[in-house]
Amino acid sequence: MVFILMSIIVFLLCVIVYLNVVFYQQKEIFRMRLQALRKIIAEIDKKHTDQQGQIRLSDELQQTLKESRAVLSNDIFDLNYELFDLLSKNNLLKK
Amino acid sequence: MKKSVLLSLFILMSFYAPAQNAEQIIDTLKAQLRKKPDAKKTAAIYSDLTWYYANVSIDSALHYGLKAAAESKRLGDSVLLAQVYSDVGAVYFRKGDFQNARTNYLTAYKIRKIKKDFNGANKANANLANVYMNTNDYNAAMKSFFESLRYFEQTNDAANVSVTKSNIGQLFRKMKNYPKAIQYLKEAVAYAEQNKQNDRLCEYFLNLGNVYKDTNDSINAIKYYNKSLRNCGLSANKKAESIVYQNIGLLKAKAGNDKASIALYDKSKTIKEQVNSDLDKANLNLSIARSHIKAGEYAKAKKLLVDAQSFFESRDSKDDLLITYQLLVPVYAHLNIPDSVDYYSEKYTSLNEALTQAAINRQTADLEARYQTAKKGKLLVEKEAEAQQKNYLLLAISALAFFIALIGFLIYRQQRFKNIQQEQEFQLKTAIAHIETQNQLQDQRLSISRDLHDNIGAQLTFIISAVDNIRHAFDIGNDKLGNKLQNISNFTKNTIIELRDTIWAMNNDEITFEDLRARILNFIEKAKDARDEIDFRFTIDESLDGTKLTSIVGMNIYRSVQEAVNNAMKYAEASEITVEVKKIEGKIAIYISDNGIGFNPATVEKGNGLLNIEKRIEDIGGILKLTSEDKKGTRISLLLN
Repeated sequence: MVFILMSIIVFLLCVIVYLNVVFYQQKEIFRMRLQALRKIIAEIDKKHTDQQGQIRLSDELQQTLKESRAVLSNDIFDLNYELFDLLSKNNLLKK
Repeated sequence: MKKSVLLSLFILMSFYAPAQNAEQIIDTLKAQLRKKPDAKKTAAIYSDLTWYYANVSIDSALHYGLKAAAESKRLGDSVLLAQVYSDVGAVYFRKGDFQNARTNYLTAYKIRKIKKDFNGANKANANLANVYMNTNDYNAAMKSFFESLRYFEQTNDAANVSVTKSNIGQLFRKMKNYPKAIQYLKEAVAYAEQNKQNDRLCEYFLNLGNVYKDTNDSINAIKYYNKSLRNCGLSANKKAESIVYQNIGLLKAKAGNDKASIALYDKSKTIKEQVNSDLDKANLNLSIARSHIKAGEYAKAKKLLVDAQSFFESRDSKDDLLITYQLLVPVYAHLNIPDSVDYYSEKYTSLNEALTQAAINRQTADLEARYQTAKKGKLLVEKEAEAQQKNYLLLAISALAFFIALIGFLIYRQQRFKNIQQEQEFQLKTAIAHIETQNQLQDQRLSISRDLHDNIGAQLTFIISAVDNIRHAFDIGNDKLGNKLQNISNFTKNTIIELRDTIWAMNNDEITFEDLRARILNFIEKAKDARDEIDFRFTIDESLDGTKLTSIVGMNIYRSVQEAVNNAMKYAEASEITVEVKKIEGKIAIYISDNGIGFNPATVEKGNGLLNIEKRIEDIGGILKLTSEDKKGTRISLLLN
């Protein structure tokens, strides 16, 4: 009986050692996977930041273009006004 | 001659006075008693008188013993009471009343054990051993003697070691192991001689003489008897003295000297009368009767033997009775009384058979006891082995339970770790997915923006082309109209340049310093074309060539430089504008300086251009520093990490 129990204890000891080894292997694998994932996150985060910068530039341009459009519209309106004024003065407008 | 020598066993003493003999001590004690001491002292004196009378007069010893016991009980002094019981036991022992001796010794032993008086208890144990020895229970006697000896040796009590060794020697004599008997007795004698214990020497020499007498060494026996007589005289030990005379008488009778033998018996008888030891007297009668038979005086022998018979029958002393019957048979034969011969022959035979049977029974009982002990021992060993086996089993089961629990814990830990892993992994993957989704959305937005900017670029180009065609195709004599067209064309061209610059920055994920240098250089060339009176200088540190910037950083630097140069061109009235880009302690430093009119930064309000530069540099984590002085030009420093 004692012999059987001792055999079981030895077996259980082996199981304990095995479980510990597996546990530390899993821990190492997980650490490496996390490292890889963090690297990916860092990369895509950088890309994200770059894209945000580009979008900001685009937005700024959009604003500039908006202002330019207003200026240009005024200029074209003034040009047309002058043109029509000139045509009117010379009676060149179609009736 | 089985019972030729009387018992001469010697009890342990609680006190001892080697310089005086018993009678002198008794006189002293009685003198103390007459002074009427207190109750405790009186009780102690009674106890001492009991002890010292034991060897002088047994009746007197018993008388004082009873008085000592009564006084001790009245005082409630259990220690003294135990001593009295022990002394009374010794008196009964000397009287030959072993039953009463045993009862008194046992009482003393019990009291001392309760009181945890181990020394006294061991003395009582040794005295009990003497009783066992005289009732032929040799095993019990040997066991008790050796227990006591071990105790006295451990406590270095040399006096009691000596007494116990003498008793063991006496026991070996009874067991007919004479060499051992002589060895133990001589060890006891050596101690008593060294310490001049006459009383002890009287008894030890008597016992040694007895051993030599039993081995038929008459010369040595007489020698030690004489030594004993001398010491008995000095210590007034009358009982021992009477025994010595009786034993010498026996030796003389054996040697055929009947007259001398009778004379010695008479001497012994006279002393025994004083001592009043019934057993000793009866034994002496046997010896005298033996001498009478030898002398043919059968009637005298018959009288003594019949007296001894009734005494031994009253004490149930079977060994002595057997000798008496044995001696009575020839006496009655010579007196020609055949019926009595038959009667005593039959009595002798039946008693002999009874004694033999008792011895056999004792031996059988002893054997059975040994068998039972061995059996119990075996059972005990088996039980111990079983208990040990159970202990091992329990230990192994405990270890098993512990390991199972440990494995359970390890599996639980592993599972929990797996869950945490999965959770962390899920969180990271979710974050990645989220960022990627945002990136895709931003990608789409950027793509739409690019398309939009391309369209706007095309439309602006169309406007420039249309305006230029009108200007060149028609001769516009109106200056106002011509200027308007020129303004529209210039404004549209500037807008398209800004659009192209932004598209350039947006289309590159990274901008190198080489690209930036080319752009800035291009801008300065155009500025030169616009204001050829100004001397433009542009230098860039070549070590910055490999440096990469993000599109927003690159664009903000470019716009800042552009804005600063434009400001200098517009307001500084400078003849020289310098742009320097350097690398200082790992940082990028850009200096835009002019030699214009300058201004006081404390009094002059910052314009939109300067505010824009400040905002752009702050956005990319840089520092702007403006230094200007009237008539000494302006210097803008941009410091980037």
